[in-house]
Amino acid sequence: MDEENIKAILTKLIAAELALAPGEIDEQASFMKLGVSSVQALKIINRLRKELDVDINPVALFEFKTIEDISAYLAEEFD
Amino acid sequence: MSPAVAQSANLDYHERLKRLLPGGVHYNFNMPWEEVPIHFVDGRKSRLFDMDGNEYLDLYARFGAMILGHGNEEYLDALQEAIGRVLCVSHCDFDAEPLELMNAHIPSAEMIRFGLSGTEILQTALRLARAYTGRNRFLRFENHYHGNADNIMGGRVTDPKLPVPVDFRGDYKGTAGRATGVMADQSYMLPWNDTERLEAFFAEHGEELSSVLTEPVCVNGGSIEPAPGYLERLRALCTEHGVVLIFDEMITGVRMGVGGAQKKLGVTPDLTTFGKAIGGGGVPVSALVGKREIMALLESKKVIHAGTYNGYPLGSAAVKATFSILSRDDEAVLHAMHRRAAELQSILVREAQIAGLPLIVQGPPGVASFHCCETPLENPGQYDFDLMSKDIIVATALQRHGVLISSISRIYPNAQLSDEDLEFFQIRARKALGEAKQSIDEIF
Repeated sequence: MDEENIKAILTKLIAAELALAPGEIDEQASFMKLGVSSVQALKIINRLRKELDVDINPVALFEFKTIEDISAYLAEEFD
Repeated sequence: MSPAVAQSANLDYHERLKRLLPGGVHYNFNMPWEEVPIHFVDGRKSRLFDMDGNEYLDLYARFGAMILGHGNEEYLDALQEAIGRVLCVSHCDFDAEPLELMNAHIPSAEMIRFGLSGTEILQTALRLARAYTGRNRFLRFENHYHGNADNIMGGRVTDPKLPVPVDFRGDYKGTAGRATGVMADQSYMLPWNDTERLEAFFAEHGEELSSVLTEPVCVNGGSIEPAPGYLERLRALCTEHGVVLIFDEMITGVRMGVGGAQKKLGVTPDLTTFGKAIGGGGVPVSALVGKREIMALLESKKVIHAGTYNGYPLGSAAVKATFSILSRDDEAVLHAMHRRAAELQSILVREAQIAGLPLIVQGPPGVASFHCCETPLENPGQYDFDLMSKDIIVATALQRHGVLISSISRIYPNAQLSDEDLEFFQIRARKALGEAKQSIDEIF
């Protein structure tokens, strides 16, 4: 799966959790800026795990804090 | 999940603060998410009241500092008296009594110095140990926490043959801006509660060490108690190799008893650092206590320990009041607090069973933590991200239902915890644990 697809899925999951439209989510903003809470972050990362059927180290959240960064990291992992 | 409590005034206030206050908070770790702090307007006994009129049971107790409960009359009277007499001098007649009380109760407290924060006093302890031994490096342990100075916070070991801590991706205690090499040049880090590793390490590096630094009960790593004989062996190894043993009793001090964990566990360190609850929760005070021959380096002025507010009158009055209240009648207040804390913990376990959620509580009452698993953790390395995540979900649910827990899952009772508080807790915990179970099932 390429970076753009991952980005679209992640944006959709974050939007759903924050009750926003995907278009309202800034891909360059950090989770913190988006107003994601700890439990929401855990939900998002675990839903992403299921949707992509891949084991994502939750620690990735701490290092890659924007949708763009996480998507790039995961795309690299898929390669 | 929708909040169980109103929070519009709180959210507005948070937005107002964020314009000037980074993140809207006065402290932060490297977490990727934003938590909106609750802003309180009033506190009575074990309860807090926020800007939106919500009531909370305070088991957070400001990281454990608030041991006397909100509005403790005897404590407030002591502070008022100090405020009314003399506020800002370097030396006053408030010093002797708190020092004598600490000396009487704490086994390692042959001599005592006061400071303000835990981070600062801990660095003084390391400096003193380096001066006393003439050696540079100290040893600390994984998942213990000793303040937010560059040389001591976070990190992990990548080469077990040379166990020096280094920065790593995903360290929530990691920070940008750390001075280069400051951890690797000064310290070693080992897993805790592993006697074999400890002995092997001392055989190779014992003569390099100035000090070993440990929480006697690893509260920061999940309230994990020392394995039988572990601290005794550590004590013996330090003595054998001429190493200063430092207990960080920032959390356990006073909460486990006025003599600290060291009195309960029967192991006396060379130096001990205290903070948080020794000042009763209302004013900041930290303390460095230790053996006379080591503390003498401060008397001879070979080692510097300075600070504008060290030993300030209000702080000394607060320590005196706290030790007086807690030590009276053979620590009756603390014993009652521990009994109620144990009952509260039983309620939590029982309610988790009803909700179908695996949950245990471990650690001595007063400094215990809950964990969403079947068996107690034996070393801090077992506290992995998945377990931490489940604990966060439960703690967050409890907060939504008016019960404040200290990060990540610590239960800090106070001296005014009552039977009414236990009833309040039972009702709120039932709702919270049901919701948490649902979230955990959904996520894992």
